[in-house]
Amino acid sequence: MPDVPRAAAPGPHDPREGEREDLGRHRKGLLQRLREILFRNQLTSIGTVLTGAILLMAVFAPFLATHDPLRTNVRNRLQPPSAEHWMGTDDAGRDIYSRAIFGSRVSVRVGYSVVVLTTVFGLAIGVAAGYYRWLDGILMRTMDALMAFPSIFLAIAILAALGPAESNVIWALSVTLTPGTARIVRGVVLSLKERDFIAAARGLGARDLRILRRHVVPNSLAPLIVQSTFVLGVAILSEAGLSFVGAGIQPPTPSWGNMLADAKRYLFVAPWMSYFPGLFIVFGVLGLNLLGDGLRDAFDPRMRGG
Amino acid sequence: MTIFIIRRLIVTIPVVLLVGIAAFLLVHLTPGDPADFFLDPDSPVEEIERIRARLGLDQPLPVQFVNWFGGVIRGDLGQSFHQRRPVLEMFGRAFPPTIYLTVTSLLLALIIAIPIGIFSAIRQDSLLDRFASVFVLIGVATPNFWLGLLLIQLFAVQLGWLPAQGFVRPEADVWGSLRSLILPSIALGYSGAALIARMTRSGMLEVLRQDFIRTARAKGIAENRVNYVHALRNAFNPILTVIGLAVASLISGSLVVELVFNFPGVGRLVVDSVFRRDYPVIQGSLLLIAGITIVVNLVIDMLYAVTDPRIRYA
Repeated sequence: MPDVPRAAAPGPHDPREGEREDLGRHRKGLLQRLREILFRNQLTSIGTVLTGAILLMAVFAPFLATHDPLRTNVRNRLQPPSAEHWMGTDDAGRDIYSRAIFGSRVSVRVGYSVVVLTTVFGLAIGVAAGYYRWLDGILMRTMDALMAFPSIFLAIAILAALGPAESNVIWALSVTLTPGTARIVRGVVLSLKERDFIAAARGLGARDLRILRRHVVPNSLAPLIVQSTFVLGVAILSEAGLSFVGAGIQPPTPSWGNMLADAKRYLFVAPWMSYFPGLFIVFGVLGLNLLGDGLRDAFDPRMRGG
Repeated sequence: MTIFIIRRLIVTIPVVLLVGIAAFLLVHLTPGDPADFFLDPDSPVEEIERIRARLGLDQPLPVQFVNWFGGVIRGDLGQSFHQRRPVLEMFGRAFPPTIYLTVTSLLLALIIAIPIGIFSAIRQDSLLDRFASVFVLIGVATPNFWLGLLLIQLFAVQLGWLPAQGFVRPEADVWGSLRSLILPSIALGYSGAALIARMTRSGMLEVLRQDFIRTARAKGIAENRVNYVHALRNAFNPILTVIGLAVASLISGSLVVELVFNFPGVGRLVVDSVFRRDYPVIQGSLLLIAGITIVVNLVIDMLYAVTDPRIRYA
């Protein structure tokens, strides 16, 4: 499992730049601005389309699937792709295409839940560590300790403790991926603390909570959104890895990872079993990474071409 | 430098302690009693108590932790519940395949990725740069275990060139060992190569934009010398950082790839121990793997000073 690529050196926005953007927003409207960011160039557009496609696939899975993903048919087992079964059938005669479509639901549920949890925890821990010196040491050393475990080992150990269920996969991945987000938020907070407008706000009598809400959180937003797309990609890859190993989503619920675990057992007789679930993972994660790169460039012009 | 090393080691102590606590707590939150694995579920209560006492499970958690961690410091990671052998011995047996796999993957990744990263930075937006970015994008998105399955299908099943499964120990057969490592190393190394190539490129680009590079060009120094001497020399540090990250992700990835290729490595050991609830083995392996990651990062921190004399740790 690859570790989260940190959204490279995300700095807070120049507040003046924010004002200009605000003016622009009034003129252009939110939708148009969103479109400009999500489709800012070819690669980003591909990312947006792929990411959207996986989401839609998860939402409309029952309409897209041609067969019941759980229905077994032993007489029909290990059939190569055909007009009836577009991606063939697996060792229990189930339709691989329909299973892969429903598999996107697991990836989307796990991925987006992990993003929400890591963002909440990462924001809380990062802000606390960056803002309060006395908390910094203990919090960041704890994050260092968590990061010292190779991520999949840690996730497997957590799943061993909690048992293999989808919700536990979400918790396990949130624990392993939070330190990255926390570090990014802490970096933003540390660099903001030195800025004049924070001192000014404090001088005007603003309390910590107000400064956090009005200045720190909005300034952390851009790097957080970029980080989210990468966390989403890593979470999807990791869930697949955990399910492949047998510690994640348990059969018969289809997930791309446990479909590949089935495929491994029939590698010599039914190679098609491994092709499609893997392709779905690659396209899903590729889309998220392309989108993330695009968002990073849009939010932080200094990183362009980097 | 010595002072820096000592200071860096002191900072590492609380991290190691926290890692120990984390490893211990994780495993002890596991529902289910390992004593069950030694007995029938309907054994008499006294029997269960006897086993629990033998395993030290009847003591309060903090006492268990102190006993365990005290042993760890003395180099004793306890005994496997399952096999009644020292954890260190079991880990020692599982470690070589993992380390061979990780090292060959890292070397493969470095050999491929660093030149790609450097050239694509120097010839930004060239055809090569575009190919490189496709290579990187696909590499980062491809699960290593899926790539492993595809490689087995092509090179082992279809072409029959390389073994599909298993690890041959180099003491037994050097050539066979290398052959058994090729496919797993590619499967594991590709994502690492993608990561390293991407970071090398951006590190190099960053350096190329700096003033001293412009000065060097203005002085009339040959373009190649500017690129490969002035710029590359200064891009070492970001590359080192990436290698550190890559090592951690390779160790992590090796776990899954080992299962694809049926390697008798640490990944196999950990997954088997999880299913057997063999606490000491899980704890010990987690701690050792985390320890190795910490040491690798420490070494990399020190290499910074070697590659960049501007950094003075004192």
